[in-house]
Amino acid sequence: MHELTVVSNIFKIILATAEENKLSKISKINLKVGKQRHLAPDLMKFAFDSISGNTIAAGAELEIERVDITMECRSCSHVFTVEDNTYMCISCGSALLKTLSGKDLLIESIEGEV
Amino acid sequence: MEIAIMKAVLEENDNKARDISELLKSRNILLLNLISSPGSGKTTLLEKTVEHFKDKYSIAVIEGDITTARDAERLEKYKIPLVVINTDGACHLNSMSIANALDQFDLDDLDIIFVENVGNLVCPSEFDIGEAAKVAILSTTEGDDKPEKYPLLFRESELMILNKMDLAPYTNFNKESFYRDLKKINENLPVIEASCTKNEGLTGWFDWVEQKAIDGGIIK
Repeated sequence: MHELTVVSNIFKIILATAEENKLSKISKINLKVGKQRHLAPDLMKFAFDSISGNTIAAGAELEIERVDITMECRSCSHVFTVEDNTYMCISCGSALLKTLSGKDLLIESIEGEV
Repeated sequence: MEIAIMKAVLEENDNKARDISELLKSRNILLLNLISSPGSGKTTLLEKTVEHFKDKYSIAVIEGDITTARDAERLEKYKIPLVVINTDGACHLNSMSIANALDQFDLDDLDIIFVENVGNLVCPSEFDIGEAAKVAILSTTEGDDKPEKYPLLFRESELMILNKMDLAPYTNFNKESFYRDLKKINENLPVIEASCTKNEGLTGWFDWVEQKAIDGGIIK
């Protein structure tokens, strides 16, 4: 249940951004969450609703884009998407890989009104 | 209106983890982050490890527990520097709590710090704490399907200890399927089969720790 920790951090960052930009209401938060992360979108939404009540972010929509796990093979440079937890180059079979994406946990933007 | 942020949610934690990692490198201290489910044998492993190294190196332990100091009490007999972090319900340690714990040690006098993370296969693997390496511990009684169910930990770890090998015959732990799954997720992850209570397989672990300390320039 580390969703609450993650959502608390999100909340802190978006409130600071809203203040800097003099927003009176936050209506949507656009997030990128890598598929390697053990984060349940439903739990994140639940946690967000629990902590955002009575703030300018109350009722805001959490738009969560799940980012594919992509790897670059260190042996043959092939770039591929990891499916079914298989971390092996689909071209040459090597397991020496560089992570390109999948561990992302990023606030892309917020939408709101001044 | 839309305002671009492009900020990592765990930036604060990751920055602190980087600070810790740099601090420990400059002080020549190895910090290992031990992650497993509750009851896998982490504390028993630590007892054997502290016992083995305590006269040779300066060892300290940080115990992460949701509540109670039970694990720490089991290590008190070794008279080593020991800090308990009670997370008050949180399912993982973070770099801020580790930084506070480090403040309570005399860093001039330490070689290796073992962190026993909160018993949990999910959350601790998401939070870097400035460790030199994560070590995953799994016991045969938990079942052979855990790597496939919690892949992140087995991707992030540099070593895995498969504990309670002595109990394997009494369980339905299927070694073949375990190694097949693990190979798929992380072919390069070394596995040490051990039975901590029977003192079996521990030499491989002790050697790994020492090699890690040598590679880090901590011991010669």
